[in-house]
Amino acid sequence: MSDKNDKNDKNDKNEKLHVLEDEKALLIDHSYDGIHELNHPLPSWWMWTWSATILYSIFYFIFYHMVGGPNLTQEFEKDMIRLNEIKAIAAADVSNFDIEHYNTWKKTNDSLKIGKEVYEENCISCHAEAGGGDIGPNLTDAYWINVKERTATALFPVIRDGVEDNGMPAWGEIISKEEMYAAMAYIVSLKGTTPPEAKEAQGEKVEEF
Amino acid sequence: MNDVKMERFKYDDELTKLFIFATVIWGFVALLLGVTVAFQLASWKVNMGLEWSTFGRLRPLHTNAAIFAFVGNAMFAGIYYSTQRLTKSRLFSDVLGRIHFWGWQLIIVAAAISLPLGFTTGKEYAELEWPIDIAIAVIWVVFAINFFGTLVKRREKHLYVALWFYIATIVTVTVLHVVNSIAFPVDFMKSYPVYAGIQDALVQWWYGHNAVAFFLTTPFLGIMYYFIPKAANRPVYSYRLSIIHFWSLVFLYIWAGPHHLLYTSVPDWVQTTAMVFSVMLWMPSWGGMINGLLTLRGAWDKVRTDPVLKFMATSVTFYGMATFEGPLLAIKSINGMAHYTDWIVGHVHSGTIGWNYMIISGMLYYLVPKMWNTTLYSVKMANAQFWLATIGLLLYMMSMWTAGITQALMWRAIDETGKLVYPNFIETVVRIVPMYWVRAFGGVLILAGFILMMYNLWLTIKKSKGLEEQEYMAPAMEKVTSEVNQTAHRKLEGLPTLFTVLTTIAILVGGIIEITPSLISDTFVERDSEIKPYSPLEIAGRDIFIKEGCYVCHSQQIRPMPDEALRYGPPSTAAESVYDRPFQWGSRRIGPDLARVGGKYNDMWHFRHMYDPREVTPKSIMPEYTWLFKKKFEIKTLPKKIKVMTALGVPYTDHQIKNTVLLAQKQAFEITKGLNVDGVDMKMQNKEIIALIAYLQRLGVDGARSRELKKQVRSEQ
Amino acid sequence: MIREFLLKINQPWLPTLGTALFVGIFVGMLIWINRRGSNSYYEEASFLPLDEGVKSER
Repeated sequence: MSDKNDKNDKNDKNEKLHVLEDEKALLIDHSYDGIHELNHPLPSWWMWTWSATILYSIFYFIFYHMVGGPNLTQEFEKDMIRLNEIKAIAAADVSNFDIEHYNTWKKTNDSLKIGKEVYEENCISCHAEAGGGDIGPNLTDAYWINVKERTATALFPVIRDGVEDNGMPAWGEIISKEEMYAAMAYIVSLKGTTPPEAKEAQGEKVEEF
Repeated sequence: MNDVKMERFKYDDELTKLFIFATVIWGFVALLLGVTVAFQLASWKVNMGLEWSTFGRLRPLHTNAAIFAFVGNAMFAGIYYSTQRLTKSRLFSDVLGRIHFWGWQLIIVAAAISLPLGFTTGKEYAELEWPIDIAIAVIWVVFAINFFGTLVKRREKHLYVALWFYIATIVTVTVLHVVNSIAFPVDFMKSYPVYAGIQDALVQWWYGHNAVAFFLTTPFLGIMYYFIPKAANRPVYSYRLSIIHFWSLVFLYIWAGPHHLLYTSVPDWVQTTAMVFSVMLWMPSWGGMINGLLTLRGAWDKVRTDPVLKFMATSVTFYGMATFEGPLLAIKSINGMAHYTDWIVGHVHSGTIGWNYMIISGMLYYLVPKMWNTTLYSVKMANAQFWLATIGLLLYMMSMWTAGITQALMWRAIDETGKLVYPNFIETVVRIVPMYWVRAFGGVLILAGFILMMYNLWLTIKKSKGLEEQEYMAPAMEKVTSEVNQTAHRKLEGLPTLFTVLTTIAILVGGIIEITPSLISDTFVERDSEIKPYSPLEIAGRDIFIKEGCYVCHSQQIRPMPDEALRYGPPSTAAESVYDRPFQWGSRRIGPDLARVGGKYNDMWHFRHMYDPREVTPKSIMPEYTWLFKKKFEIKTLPKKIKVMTALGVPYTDHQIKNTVLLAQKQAFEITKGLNVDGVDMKMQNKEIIALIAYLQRLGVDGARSRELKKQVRSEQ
Repeated sequence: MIREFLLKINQPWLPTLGTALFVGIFVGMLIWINRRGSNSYYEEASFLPLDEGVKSER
């Protein structure tokens, strides 16, 4: 049924609705405020794609929730097993401190320069500039909490494993062996230096200078 | 034809004009806020050092302004204008219309005041506290009455497709808003949701995603179906397609909510369901795009010259792009990369600016000249706005794609010794800050274009000589249609009540199936006896976390992925958030995830970090939170808060309930004593920073204890 | 499957490269079609009796 008041349906410029030749058969004979509708069939690519997504969804759901596909936790555990294998190899590499290896590394690398970089990327937020100490202890003075001497051999396990109770992270899991070497070389070099802001001494006196 | 009685009526266009003014003003505010927060990420100093202007407090103001103030008012303008004409009837009630208008603006003002002051629920796009939520519900019901009343009074028997979309909008938004906002008030501007943990997450994202669907999309699909054929003077491409895509859209959209929760601790089957339904939603959305664009067949030459069609055609194109990107992002493996990154932010804005901002501009360029009986002041200015908006948006999208994927790749990079390549989160931030500048610049272009439009429209109105209210004539609606051979759907289009009921059922199905299990979840959320409720002081700290909007930058949900296990610890479990009201899993990692930050740094680190983040992380973009050191944490409301939590099911002991204040003060004293060793004055013990530290140091701790015990048990077996 | 593939990508500079290429091609295309002297080509093209087109009133 067509509208009885065409004059209200035309837009203000009184243009006739623009209908193409090939559309005339599809024009539905009803309008809303001058809006007409054609009845083109659903585009076939649209129907096929929609059907494909529905099929994909059904199979996906069945695979993961009905025939024993892995859930997220299982996938995670699989990934972690692989990762832990890799980490175990790396951990074995740092489990013992090899002083020969350390000394060789120091000779063939600019250990103080690299050490300062590593320090500033990782240690400075707690041990402050030039080892002055802030949240973590002062590294320049003669007083130590976790070691009895300022040597690489003593420092290495503290840096590698951290000190959980005091908030010192286990750097062995975060930075590489070489980076730890560099950091230690730098810390050893801080002995007796004067940082911009020095925290008061903590721990026991183990050095004389 | 002679014996048909013609009724005379006029349309209420004054109301539409009111909503047009509001749209333009709030659009400017929303975009200005957007540009501001964009610059705040590029440069932390733009936070201005004040508690009311931090990113955490302004970002919700931006989202609320953009969604409810800008898009909301535009939606009402479009719906009121088109509905009257499509039903050939004046609005049901002029008075209700004005209550709607003024009520809605008051709600916006309430939001503008309350959000910067920190009165927030901490749930995205639902931040407004309970009194404002009630106001929204009331005004929305007023709107519904006016809309459905107009349908009842209609003279045009069958409902045009635009009206179907309006019906779906009104019904669904009602359900979403009411259910998601159910909360137990503590005081006038503070409440806790009745849902906790994964229930809260599921309800929140059922709401959040469908706010996108039924507030940002469906009303504007209706608007598209009205304004494009009108402006182009062409028939709509396919009636058949409009039926199929309407029903499939309203049915499927609801299920997609949990795609915001992929790889979290919500049940696997819910995640899969959300993903596959999002994928199935792709073609139904494109149905809208096809109908919108192909209606322009034969009028492409007009698209080149007419700003209305230029904006509308482009908006539909961006709609198509965004509704492809959405399902793509909902695929689990892709989501695994994109979630928490800026790619999602880029996706959001391709929709909100590409679709909403542009179609609103097209609609305004159509309505204003028409309603003020004049021509547009400057087509050149409109074209300039078009290019500014398009280029600005492209800059936005591309910078966010780049930033998002770069950050995702950096987060997950593991070297051959099994260590993170970028163990320091800040490295991933620093790398993408240049993209933040590009995005902010894109935003400036978009805002500039909008200002041009404001100017253009104002001058258009100024040169108008006014339009007398036009009178129209139409016969009353036939009681029984004279149409023959009606298809079933055609018959349904003549029965708005049945249509509404069927739409309501369609939108309820997805929600019920996905949420009901979690509402009766006692059997399925693994209870863990090691997980204990937060202490009173920690609740005070948690509420500060929510108030300052920390969740806007820091997520609290570790995903089951190896790089996250290395960076943050074991994946979060559902049991760990069982007492969290509201849940604070977050949607973005502008800063690192905090789910297991408890015990990772000592109290002094947090003390320093909040006061000046750059002291502990030199390149940080986090604002300073100096007022936490001056303001006392709220202790008077603590007993009430604990009682409310208990009423909601959190197992506080009688001792905790009776001695709330004492327990809080004692815990605060202990923390401050520890800090005092390093020079912090004891008078800090009642300040907000201490409460916040208490909360942060609790995060993930119970879970760790639980895992230790489980390991012990396993090794003993 | 997609997951395995995505997990292997370890080059964070890829998205930047992708964007640069995209922008380059896009801007390049804009410049190319706006070369001086090409306007007449497009003028003529707009009058082709294409399927959809109704000849615009000129």
